[in-house]
Parts: sequence; C-alpha cells; structure tokens
Amino acid sequence: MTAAPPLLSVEDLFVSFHTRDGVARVINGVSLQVDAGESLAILGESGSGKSVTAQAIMGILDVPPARIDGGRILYQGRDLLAIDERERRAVRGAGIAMVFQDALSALNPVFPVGWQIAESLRVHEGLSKPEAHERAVRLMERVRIPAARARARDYPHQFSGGMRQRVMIAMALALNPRVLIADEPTTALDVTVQAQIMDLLAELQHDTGMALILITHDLGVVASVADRIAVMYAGRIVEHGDVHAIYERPAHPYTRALIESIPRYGRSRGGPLRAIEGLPPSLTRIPPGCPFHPRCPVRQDICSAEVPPDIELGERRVSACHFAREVLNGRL
Amino acid sequence: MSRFILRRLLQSVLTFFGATLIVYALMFSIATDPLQALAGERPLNESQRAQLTAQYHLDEPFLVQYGYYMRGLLTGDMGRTITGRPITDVLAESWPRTIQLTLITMVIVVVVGVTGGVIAGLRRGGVFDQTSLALTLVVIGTPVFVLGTVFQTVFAVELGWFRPSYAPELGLATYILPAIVLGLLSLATAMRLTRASVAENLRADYVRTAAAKGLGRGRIVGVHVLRNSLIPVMTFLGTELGMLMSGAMVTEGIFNIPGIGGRLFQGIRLEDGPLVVTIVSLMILIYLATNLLVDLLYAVLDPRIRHE
Amino acid sequence: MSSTGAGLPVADDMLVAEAPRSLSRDAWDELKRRPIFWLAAALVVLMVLMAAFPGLFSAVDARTAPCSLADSLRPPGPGHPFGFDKQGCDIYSRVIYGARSSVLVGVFSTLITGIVALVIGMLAGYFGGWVDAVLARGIDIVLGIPPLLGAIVVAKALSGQDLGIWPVVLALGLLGWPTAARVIRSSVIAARHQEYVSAARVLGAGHLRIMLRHILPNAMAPLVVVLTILLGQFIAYEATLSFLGVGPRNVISWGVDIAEAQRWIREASYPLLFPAGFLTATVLAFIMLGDVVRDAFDPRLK
Repeated sequence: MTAAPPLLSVEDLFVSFHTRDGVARVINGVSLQVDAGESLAILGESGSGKSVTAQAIMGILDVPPARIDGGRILYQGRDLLAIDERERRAVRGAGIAMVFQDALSALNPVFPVGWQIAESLRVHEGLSKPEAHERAVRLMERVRIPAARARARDYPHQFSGGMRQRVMIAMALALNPRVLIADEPTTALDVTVQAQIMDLLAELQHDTGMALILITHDLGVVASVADRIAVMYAGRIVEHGDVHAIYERPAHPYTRALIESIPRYGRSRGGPLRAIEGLPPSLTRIPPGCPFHPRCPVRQDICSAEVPPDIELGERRVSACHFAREVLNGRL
Repeated sequence: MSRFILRRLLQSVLTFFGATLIVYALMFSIATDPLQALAGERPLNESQRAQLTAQYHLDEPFLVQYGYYMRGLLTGDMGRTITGRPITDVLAESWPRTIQLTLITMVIVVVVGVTGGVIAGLRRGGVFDQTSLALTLVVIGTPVFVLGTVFQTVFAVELGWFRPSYAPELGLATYILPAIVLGLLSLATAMRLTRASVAENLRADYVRTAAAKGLGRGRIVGVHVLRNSLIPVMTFLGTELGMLMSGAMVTEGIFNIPGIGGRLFQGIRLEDGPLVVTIVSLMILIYLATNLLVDLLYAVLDPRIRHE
Repeated sequence: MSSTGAGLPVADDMLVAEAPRSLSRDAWDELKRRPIFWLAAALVVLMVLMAAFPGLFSAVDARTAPCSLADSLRPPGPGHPFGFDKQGCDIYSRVIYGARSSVLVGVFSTLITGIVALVIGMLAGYFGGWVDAVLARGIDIVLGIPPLLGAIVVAKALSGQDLGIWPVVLALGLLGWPTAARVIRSSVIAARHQEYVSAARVLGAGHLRIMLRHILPNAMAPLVVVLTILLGQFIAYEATLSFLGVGPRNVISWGVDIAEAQRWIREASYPLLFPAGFLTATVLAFIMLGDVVRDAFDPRLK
C-alpha cells in the first residue's frame, strides 16, 4: 500500500538444521514484512519454525548446525544476510531487539539486572558506568518496575516472573530499537500477568512507534495486540493478513481448525472438543505437496502432489492453500 | 546467611570430633596390643610398657583417653614422636616446605588446567579437546605413586632434567618436578571440570540473550560465560588447596621432601604412632576448615545461593 | 492444539510419532557405538581372567618359582619377556600373579562399599527427617577421614596379625562408602517424589516393598557407575598401600613390586615399568568403563 519499502522484510527465507538424524528443513520459503508502528503476530504450534524465524532475523542462530540456504532479510533496505558480522552486530540490539520467553534462564544469574540493562548502553553507545546505570534505572521505571532504583541492584532470581519479563523488555528497549521481536513473552506467566505484559507492550509500541513482531501459539494473546497475523506450519507461512479478517473468515484449513479448536463457552455443549487430528510432521520428513495435507479434513488429491502457491485474496490477505477461495467462502 | 555459617560451623565441629574419635579408636583400640601397635615392630620391655601406659593413659576408660588426647591436641601439646622429639617442632619445620610445594602446584594447576579447560570447552570436539580428554583420563586413572615413580625415572634419572630428590640448595626450583606430579591429578580434574562447565554455559539461554543485545563473542565468553563457568572451578580449587596443604604423602615420599606428607610417610615407615595420629588429626582439621571456607566462597560467587 | 486420533484414513507414516525409546535401550545403543566401551570392557575381562586363572597366562607359578640372585636384573629375553627383578624373580609371572590381589581387593571392597552405601543411602533418602540428618552426619564424619590415611591407619592397626587381604579390604570398604551413599541418597530422594511411589503407598504397599520394587531400580544405574569407578580407585589404593608397605602381606602385589623396583631404579627401569603399566591399565579400564557408561546414561549429552 505504501510507496516506501517496509521497515523489515523477510523474503523467501530458507533455513535448515543438519543433525545426526538427518536434515531438518525448518524454514521453507518464509516471507513476511512489518512496518513502523505495526504489530505482526506469528502464530504456530511448537516446531512450526516461528522461533527460528525470529532468531534468523536477529542473526543469532548457531551456524553449524543451522544453515541459511537462501532468501533475504531486508532491514531499512539493507540485506542483513549480505553484510559482515560486525555491521550485523551493530543492528542487533540497536535496530532490532528481542525479548525471550523464560526470563529466568534468559537473564544472566550472576549479574544484577541494572548492570545487564546498562550493558547494552555501555557497549553500543559508549556510556560511562554511572550514566548507563542511570539510564537503566529510567528504563526500569518506564516498564513500571516499582522501586526501580533499589531493585536495579537485585539479581534476576529475586524478581517474580512478571517483573523479570519487564526487566527483559527494559533491556530490549535500551537502545530504542525500531523493531522489537517478542518470542512467546508471556507463555511462562500467569494469565493475569500475561495481560499486564501485553498491555505494556502495546503501550510501549504506541509511544515509540516501533514495529512489533509477536511470536506465540496463543490465539487469545494475538487478538489483543496484533494488527496482522501470519500463521506458520512446518516452516511455511500458510496464511497471513489482517487479524480480524482472518479470525472471522479464515482462508486456510489449518487456521480454521485452530480457531475452531478453541473451546467456546456455550458452543457445542456436551459434544467432543474439536482437535486437529494427528501431529505436526517431523521436520526431517516433511510430507510432499502441502505439508498439512495428512491432517487436513478437506484434503483433495492435488494436495499431496503439488505444493500450494500463495493465493492473493485481496487487502494484503494471502493463503497457501489450493482451495483458499473455497475455504474463505465456506464452500469447502 | 549467618545462620548458615553457624550451622556449618557446628557440623564441622561435630565432624571433627567424630572423625578424630574414629581415627583414635582405630589406632589404639582395634589392635590387640595397643602398646605394640604404637611402637610398631620393635619389641618393648617392661619399663617402656609402663612408660607408654602412663603417657597414653591406657589404663583408663577409652573416652577418657580420647579426652586427654584431644585436650593435648587443642592446647598445642601434641606430645612427642617415638624418638622423643616434640611434635610441634617437627610440624614447624616441615610445614613451610609443604606450603611451598603447594603454591607451585596450584600455579601449575590454574595456569595449565583452568586455561586448558576453557580452551577445550570453547572448542568442544576439536583436536585440543579430544587429546586433552584422553590425556586427562590417563592421568586420572594412573595412581599417584606410579606417576611419581615413572616421572622420576624418566625425567630425573634417564633424562637428567631434574634432580631425583629434594635438594634445598635449589630453592623453589627443587619443587618443580614434584609439583608437576602432584599437580597432574588436580590439573586433570580441573581441566575436565572447567571444560564441562564452559561447554554447558555456552549453551545457556543467557548467551543467546547476550548475542541478541549485540555483544561480541569476546565479551560474551570473556564476561558472561566465564563468570558463570568458573564458579564450580573455584570451589573445586579451594578444596584441592586444602588437600594439598595437608601434605601429599606419596609424592613427598617419593621425592624425599621433608614436608608434612613426607614426615607422615616416614612416620609410617618408621611406625611412629603418635606422630601419625597427630598429623592425621590436623589434616582432618584443615580439611574441615577448607570445606567451610569453600562453601562461603560459593555463596560469594553465586548470588543465587546467597538468598536461600 | 493437536491430538492423536483415529477416524479419517490418513497416510500412516506421516502421522505416527516415533515409538518412545527407553533410557536403558538408548544407553545401550549409545554404548555399543563407542570403541572406548569395548576397549575398557575387554581390558576388564582380561584382568579378571588373569586374576582368576593366572595359570592361563603364565607357565611359571610366581608363588612357588625359585628366584636366583644370579638372574638379578637380567633384561627381557626369550622365555622371560619382562626380564628379572633385583631378587632374580621372573617379572612376567609376578605381574600375572600380582593381578589377583589387586582385583580381589577391588572386588571385595567394592562389594562392601556397595552394600553399606545402598543401605545407608536408601534409608537416608527414603525416610528423610531425623534419620537423614543423623545418617548425613555419619557420612560427613567418615568423609572427614582422609581416605588413604584412614586406610593406612586401619591397616597398621591390624598390622600385628597376618590376615591377608582382609584388613585392606575392610579399610577401603568402610571408608569408601560415603560418596556412593550420597549418590544413592540423591537418586532415592528424586525417585521418592515420583507419583508412582505415592500411588503404591495409597495401594497399601509397605515401606520395604516400595523401597525394593520402586525406588531401587532408579538408584541402580548411578550406583553401578559409581561402583565401577570406585573399583578402579580401590585397586589404585591397594597398590598404593602395598607401595607404602602396609598392604596385604605375603601376597604378590603390583604395589610391592613397584616399591621394590623404585629402590633400584638407577640400575634398571623395567622392573618398575611393567607392573606399573599393568596397574595403570587395570585402573584405567574400570574408570573408563564407569565413565563411558555414565555418559551413555546422561540424557543431557544427547
């Protein structure tokens, strides 16, 4: 829609892992984009490749055993895969920052949190220790950690789960990144704390105008924060588009099955829960054709033979299903 | 925290008395003729028997005897050796040598062992790692006295690089070969421990976070990983230090070093009961004190322990 | 969001998850692959055979063979591959026959250690509370005694009598159990909190039954590993004690031979190197075996 190129754009990314048990094709032609001020949710089950996508964007994959087999990652017009490590490192943390799932293990247990937050500032911006520490305290206040100044000297294990996650967010925000990737930021937290953290993320995004990529398997979390959503399965994006449009009328059998599997109050009382049959495929042996076809309730012959193309359904809505239109219109 | 220290202190006191009681009991009570066990293989005549009986209160109940012994030990009156020499003199003379040997050994262990372990941990699976794993395994499996005698044979007798025995005129240099022998076992264990710790920490989540912050490899490893990895290593080194200070009996014996261990070795050879028992009691004391200090060290190094 | 299901005909090989693999089967597969395992196992078997049937390896019976001073320190030659020691005894047969005292001491002291450690570790871990507190203090106390010195003291204390290998066996067995007991205690504590233990209790199983049937199997793997390594260390200790002159009397022992050889080291090195080599190989074999088995059972290294 906009003439200017998107802030971050992943084009046709292919990533594989070479393990003892074979080659796992973890990301198979993923394309996505996000603009300033936008929030994109990447939704998928475990093993769908969503975390690996995030780590590939950040450039923190362990390069053996992982291997980037193709594609481009364009940030502000530059292909991150084509620049050298030193330049990439300059982008990491400062341009694109990441928040991880389990703050207890993601934070270093032997350094105070204030020190860890200040570290980015000392290393990237060359601030002195007192200056960096001051900024760190400020950041902790920004993410609403009470008694921030005193708590900056505490260690990660002295915080509750929710507070720890705020510390992670403060750490990620330290350098005013343009893109924030949050990898399952609330999965390890209680439901009420989840809501607080999601609200905080939404508020910070609004204030800073940064782009937010939210990775999750939780449909409820997605609905509250995301503008657009990309659904991943077996390393591919099977559908993406506006979140409300997709929820109301999904255009891919997988998305539809996901939405229908959420138990809803009042509906199908006394009937069985609707789950998706089968299990996600092992990424070392992805089924031919459409990767979802063994579990698809409406599969046809062509599905096991040909990989479905990306079918444009208008308004930035895309679905990778041979029968996308039929699914969208409820005829299949 | 202070409750923790107090509890450990009490435990240590209990352990000290328990352990020394057992040693004392073994020494004096299991043998059918405790007097004979004290004197070894030399036969005793009547007056010697009477004197030993009085000296060691052997005609009194066991616990009383132990009480006398402990009182003596703790007030610094450690009695005399079988030849009549005050044991305190023997200790004052021998300990400095053991300390010197210990220092040189620790330097070798830290410089070679810890550094080697870090390198091996960083390049896990590489050539250095595999060779060091194999070599350390051989070292750990070889009994100390074998290592000592073989090294002595090869490097001192055959190759002549070192003197085969203690030569005080060489100053600290005389401890180098014994320190290598003594240090090899600690070194091997330190290297393996460091390697495992580094390798494990390299896979930790906080490493990924540090990378996501845009930190360079040097900083990630040098600051984040190392600070975590070295915690178990430091505590291990602390315990090793304690063990070394109580004298490495076999090594000092092989190289004829008149340190605490050497004296003990001699004491066994000459069957000097009082000396042996006293030195062993002191070793137990050192062991317990070192363990306590190492536990405290752990709390200092790892903030998670501090807040339990 | 997903479940296994029946119903729709689906391509089976796409859907079926891999069959669950048990830890011991995994471990055995892993072990089979590693050459170190076979090497160590072979060495262990060899040494045990040597201890049990020395006649298979040496035509000469070192216990009765005469030693002639005329042969003193004769170098290796035909018929006598390891040469002669200072007393004129054939080194090769002494080395073969020396295996017995080392292996026997190792086996018996490990047995004693294993039993004591199992009982104490099990009781401490299972009952917890003051039982654990008391037993843990006991462990601390025995651990406070420097093992080598403790063994020497025991051996010396019994030195008046000619009891063969038993003073050493007892000394090692009674001093070595704390470490093994701690290992068992940890695995018992871990197993105790499993749900199947609570289930058994609810079904009315008595303590002894629970301990034997449910908890013991979990403690076995780490116990075996610890005992294997301990065996190697005990053999080393026995040799050290012999070296120091407090080992079993009147038996042929590697340690004694090494001690003797050390005195004449400037004249000949092979009387030292051959027994030393066999000793090291034996100790290493057990330690490597224990090491590699432990690695195979450690899920973190997968």
